[in-house]
This record gives sequence, C-alpha cells and structure tokens, in this order.
Amino acid sequence: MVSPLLLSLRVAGLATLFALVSGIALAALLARRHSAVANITDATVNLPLVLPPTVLGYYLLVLLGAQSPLGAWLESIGIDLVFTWQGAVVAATIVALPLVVGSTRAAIEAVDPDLRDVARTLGRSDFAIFMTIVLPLAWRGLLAGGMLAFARALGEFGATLMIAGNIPGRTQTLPIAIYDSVQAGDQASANRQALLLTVTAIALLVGIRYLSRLLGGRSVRDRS
Amino acid sequence: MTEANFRASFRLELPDFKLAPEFELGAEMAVLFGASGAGKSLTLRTLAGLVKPDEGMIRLNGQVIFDGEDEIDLAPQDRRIGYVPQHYALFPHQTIAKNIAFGLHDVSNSERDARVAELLARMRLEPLGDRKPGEVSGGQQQRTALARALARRPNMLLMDEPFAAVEEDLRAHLRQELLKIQKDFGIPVLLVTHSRAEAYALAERLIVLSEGKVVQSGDRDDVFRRPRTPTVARLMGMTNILQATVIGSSEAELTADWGAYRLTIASPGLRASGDPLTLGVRPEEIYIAPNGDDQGLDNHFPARLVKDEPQGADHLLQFETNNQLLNVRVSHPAFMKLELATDQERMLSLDPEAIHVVPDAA
Repeated sequence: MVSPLLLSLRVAGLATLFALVSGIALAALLARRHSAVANITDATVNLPLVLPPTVLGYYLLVLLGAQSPLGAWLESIGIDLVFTWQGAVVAATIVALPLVVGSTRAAIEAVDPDLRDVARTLGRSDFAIFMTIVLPLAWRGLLAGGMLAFARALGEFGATLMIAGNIPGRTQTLPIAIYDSVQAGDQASANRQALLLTVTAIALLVGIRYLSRLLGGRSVRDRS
Repeated sequence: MTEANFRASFRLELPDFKLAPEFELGAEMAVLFGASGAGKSLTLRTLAGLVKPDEGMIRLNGQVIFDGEDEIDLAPQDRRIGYVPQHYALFPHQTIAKNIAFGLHDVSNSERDARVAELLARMRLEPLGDRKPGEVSGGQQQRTALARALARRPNMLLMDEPFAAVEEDLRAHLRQELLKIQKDFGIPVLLVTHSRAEAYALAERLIVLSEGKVVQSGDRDDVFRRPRTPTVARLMGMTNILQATVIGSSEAELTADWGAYRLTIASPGLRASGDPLTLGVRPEEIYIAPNGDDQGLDNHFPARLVKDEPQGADHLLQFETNNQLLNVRVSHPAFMKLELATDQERMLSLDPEAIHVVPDAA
C-alpha cells in the first residue's frame, strides 16, 4: 500500500527525470534545425499539448497492451506497464516531455553560436561542447523545463487513469484519489486530499524558486 | 616577400551574396580590409572551417585543408587555425584560466598547467586567472581570447575586428602587442578590420576585399599609395577621383586635360595623347591658397566652398569646381587662418607628386 501523495510524488519525480534526460537530448537534436524530419519530430513531441489526455492514454493502452507487438515484447521481458504505477510514469513522462523540450530548446538556441564555433576551432567534439558550454549556459531553461514537467506530471489525470487505472494503494495517484472521493460523495476526504496536493505544490514551487535564486546570484555575474 | 605559408582561393554562393576571394600569406601580419558587407567575416569563418565553400582550394603549410574537387574538407577541430571572433566569444561561465585551457584537452595535465601559466604571464593576465570574463576589462578579454586561441599552438591565427570592443586610448598599445605576438609565434595572422587607420597601423600585407572579391593585395604601402582601381583608391582614402585625358607625356611627367584645367602629373612612363586617365587625390593633399596669393602654384584652379564639416581637429571641406565636388581636409588652425566661409571662391592647387594615376579604371 502506497499513499496517493507518495505515489504521486514518486511518479512525478521519475517522470520529470525521464522527461529531462530524453527532453534535453531531443532539444539538442532539434535546436536550430528546420529539416522535414526535425519538424515532424517536433510536432510529434508536442502532440500531448494538443491532444486530450484521454486520447493519449488510449493510445498508450493500445500501444503497450498485451495485444500489441510492443506490449507483448515488454511482457516477455517482464515489464508490465498496463494498470501498474510504472505505466503512470510513462503517461506522465509523455505529457511532460514537450514542456521540457520547448524550454530547453529555447535556452539552447539562446546560447551565442559563436561560443560553439570557437570551441570547435579549439578542437573539441560536438558532444564535449554541448556538455561543457551549451548545457551550463542553458541551465535556467533546464530548470524551468524541469519545474513545468514536475508540475504537469503531478497534476496528470486523464492519461494516467487510462493506462494505470485506479487501484487504491497501487496506481491511485492523488488527483485520481480526489476524483474517486468526489465520485463516492466523500467530501471530507476530497477536501483533505485537494489541500494536501495544493500545499505540496506550493512548497515545491517555493523551494525551487529559492534554489534557483541561490544559483542565480552566481549566474547573473557569469552573464555580465 | 616572405614565402607563402597559406593560400586560399574559393567560391561560396549564398542566396544574396557571392564570395570568391583569392590570396596568399606568409608568416606575417596581414589585414583583410573592406567596407561592411564586403565578406570579410565570412571569409574568416570559411578559412576556420565553420562555413563550407562550394569549390576551391585552401592550403596551409603545404597541407590541403579544403579541396572542392577531391572533397577534402577538414573539420575546424583538425585545421589548427586559431579563431578569435568579433566580441571574442569567451565562455562566460568559465574562469579566464579555464577559457585559456579549453583547447588543451588532449595534452597532459602538467603540460596544460604549464601552457596556461605561460600564456597568463605572456598576456599580463596572471592575477586574473580565477576571474570570469565579465569581471575583466575589454583589453583583458581580448588578450584572453588571443591566449585561448594560441594555447593550442595553431599554424595560423584569424581575428575578426579584435579592437572593436576596446577603448580608443588602449588600441595603439594593443596593436603593438599584437605585432609582437605575431613575431614571437611566427605564424600568419589574418586580421579583419573596416578601419583604415587600423589597417595601416597593423598590416605588413594588406588584402582589400570588395563585394566578395580581393581587388588588391600586397605590401601595405604599395596598396595604400598605389591603389590599382578607383574602388581601392576610395577605400584607401583617395576619395577624389578625377577623369582626365592625356595631352602629352615625357619620362618624368604627364600633362592632362581635366575639364577646363590642365594638370601636370609626376608619373613615370609614356602614354599616348588622347588616352583617358583616372586620377586619385587624397583630401589632405589638396592645397588651399590664402586669399589673393596664387603665384607660383602648380596645377591651380578656382573652386567654390560648398560645405564645411568640422570633425574635431580637422575640417572636411567640399569645393565645387569643374562640375565636380572635391573633398579637401585641413586642420582646424589652418582652417581658421584661411578665414574660409561657404560660397567663397579660393584657389586650390595640386602637387604633381600628389596625383596618383589609377591604372585599372574599371
């Protein structure tokens, strides 16, 4: 048995991590590119911003279910994503991904291209340049992307309900628990849970802002 | 002339611009000079390997670094050409020492530390190694960028407008330093500028770029004093271009008709009568005779002052004569002494030595 709050934090935390890792890689590949492949990839990544989460969840259910080749393969290697909390992580990662890609890509594109050019004439590989120059200078965008991703993942409801279901103690995240309480007419629980989610979100946002200001003091001088 | 270490001849076509320069350099200080939009920065970026030309050949110390036909195109990482872009592009989040060490990833730690220490000392940056680029002056930033490029012991150095971000008073000193660094490292240095004064102060070799093409290249004084085309003449400050016709010539002198006036020009070589001549004259080499004193002047003619543009220590004047405007530069004291005022007529005079015959009048 996991409390809805802990489950929500765990799902949102892992989803943020996965979205950051894959989002940074995607943003790096897409930055300053305008080929057809880049545009289609960009549109696909951004689809979750446009589609209703239920549609997204349905796609995931079809894609990852035992009837699909991918689902069957995953099952054969012992990974079961349908009606598990891991499935909720997949759903939250996908809805959070465009937010990470969007803000990271903008931050990467804002880094002076001359820096990259000079670094190339100094013999450094593109990967080394990305790690030592681009990422450190784009960290504000990464932080913003991470915050947005976490917020979106924490509030994720529709796609999660579709793929992970509503199994108390196993896949019931806080937003789903609130929905459940309201459906059951248990207003006291709904109030308590809504308040809990709100307070948690405020605490996290304040904490991150404080952290970014601590780091930001140094960065302002870096950029002068 | 020094033996050529570097030779470039390439063509790069962009939707709205065509770049096709051709030049060579020895281990010397060369200046790539031209107006904005002439293609100077793009040329540097192409040499550094950051832009790929459509065709041509670039060679450095006998090694082909680009060949359009053989499809050789060395990456910027492999060219060993140092590049200092405009505004230096220092890494703002790294210290001065880390900036300098950035290209030394493939040498041992002790070697890296030694080279960084040596360059910090050489560039008089020793106490600033732990500072960030944003915390040091423009001149120190410039020296940091230079040190960073030199740390890898490049075979050539490219610099794009290196003095643009430096205070005027410091420039003369920094130019001297740069000349000394070029001598110490003994590599070709190609520096881009659009400032004539800077080009003159630095260049051993002057390469003049106009609309993507090298219009003249050679020894600084040769290009400066003997521009080959009207375009180069104007870029070199010979802003008065006169069209005349030869009426007689001897070994030492040329006589020509310039509209209503006759000019004597000190020019070696014989020319046929009736040949058209294009002449270049610097604004500072036109003499304004004091009122009523026009005896014994060479090549004198009346002209009317139409414009006076004070420029600090100088005045840039425009005189109208012979259906043409002539630019004349005089110092402020001389201007006051002459008691000039617009619409006044004065006698102007051209020294036969001060008139340059532009050979390729395009």
